[in-house]
Amino acid sequence: MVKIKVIVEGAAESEAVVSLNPISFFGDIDPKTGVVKDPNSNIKGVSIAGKVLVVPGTRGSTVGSYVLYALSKNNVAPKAIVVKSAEPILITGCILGGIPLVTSSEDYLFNGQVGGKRVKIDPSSSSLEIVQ
Amino acid sequence: MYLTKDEEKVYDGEEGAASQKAMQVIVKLGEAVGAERLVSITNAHASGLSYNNIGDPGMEFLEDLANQGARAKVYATLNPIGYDTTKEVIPLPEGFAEKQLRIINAFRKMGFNITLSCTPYYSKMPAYGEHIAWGESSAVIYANSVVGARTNREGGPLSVLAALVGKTYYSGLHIDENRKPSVEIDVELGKIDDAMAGALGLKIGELVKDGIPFISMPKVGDTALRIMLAAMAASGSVGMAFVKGVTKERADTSGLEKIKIGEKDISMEKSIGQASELYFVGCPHASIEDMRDILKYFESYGSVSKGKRFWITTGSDVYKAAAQEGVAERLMKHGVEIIVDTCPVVAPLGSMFKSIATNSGKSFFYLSRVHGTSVASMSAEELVRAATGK
Repeated sequence: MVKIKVIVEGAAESEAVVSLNPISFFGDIDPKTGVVKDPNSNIKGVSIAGKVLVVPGTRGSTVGSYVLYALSKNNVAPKAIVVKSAEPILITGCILGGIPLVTSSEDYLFNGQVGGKRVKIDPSSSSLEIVQ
Repeated sequence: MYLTKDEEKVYDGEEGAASQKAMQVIVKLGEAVGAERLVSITNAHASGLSYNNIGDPGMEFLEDLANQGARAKVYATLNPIGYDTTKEVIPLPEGFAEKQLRIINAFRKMGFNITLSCTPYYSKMPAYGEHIAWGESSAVIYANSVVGARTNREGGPLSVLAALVGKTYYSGLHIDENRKPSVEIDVELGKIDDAMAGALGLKIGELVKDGIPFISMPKVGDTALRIMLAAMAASGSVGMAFVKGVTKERADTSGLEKIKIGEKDISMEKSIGQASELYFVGCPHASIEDMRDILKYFESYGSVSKGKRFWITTGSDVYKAAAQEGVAERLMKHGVEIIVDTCPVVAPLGSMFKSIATNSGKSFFYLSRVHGTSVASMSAEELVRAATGK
């Protein structure tokens, strides 16, 4: 059980996809498919659709907010996003797209070991559980 | 965050889905930066609306908002786009204009004024002390430093959403205590022309970064002042500057670090100016005074030489005034092209011009970065002389 801070409300349970490096939603993610395009990413070619995206942080253009909205509209948004710290472009995009967003300071969430595992986010108890 | 009863109603969706979304974004972002409440705004200016930049995701977001019934609650204006909507100046990529028009129509439906200019203060000047939500760095710094209105540098969709609820979060430059100089700049230059003001602004922005400078300098006109402020907002992320003799708010400079800027600290590339293919004035968009001045120079030096082009970029509101008093027509007779709704920085110029000369520090900064153009820095008078071969 990991303590989380809820930034954008919503419960979620799905497989975790861990990006070891910060993501720019504009440019790194295909808004039509949810597939990671960044050639330098450890999850290049992987789809974040329906997954819990775990990423240390986000960077880049303010257009990133619109990409999160587009992912949602195209039904390829992640179920939830877990970051170490949330910046305005990400927060805006998650609200616009209705994507639950939480932060956590637990380092082991972000080093890759929870990748592929099922995680459950419970905003009512501000906790994240690794189900299996 | 503390919300009033009315704000809570919007947050809970009593005024519809679009307003609710807008309010939620503003409240969450405010909470993320530690704001304790919201503040009512009287004016919003949206940036980031070029199809070039926001693509299909941004276009669809704005269309959806408009279709959900979103309407601006306060006077709201728009930044320039990638082309002049009134005439063809540059060839556009296939389908570009159509998608850009869809974006503009979404804003029209939401009740925004289709000003397409980076000088919203020439469409409606905010009053001293007014809280506004502007997203265009050169307009933000002008509003805070010259007008005495209050705005942060609002990014991306936030200024749009703020217009829809008539509020933004109360933080940063909205608050008295944050409107204080962080460093003192002593400018030791003689007479400062517009091109020099641009170079000076770029230098100050580099030095100050996201601070607030208190600038002591020889008196300059409004054109040089706007060029200088725009430049420091481009090379740094300066949102406000105290300019001695201009900024009305009081400033306490005791104990501040003091930096001197003299001739040797300012660099200006002039050598390539004579051979430039495009001479350009209007970043920030030209005022009516700028246009009258340039007309004076053309009337004493002649017309634009064959093979050269001279652009003035401005907002459609200023253009209307220039047309009314006959300045526009007389300029065009001298071979000047007056372009509205856009500027060389945001237009997809590509490799159309190998070299451009301008009096703008902000354009000097961005043109080489965006289009790979070589850029010369010359005053408006020098530009007219070079363009006319005098």
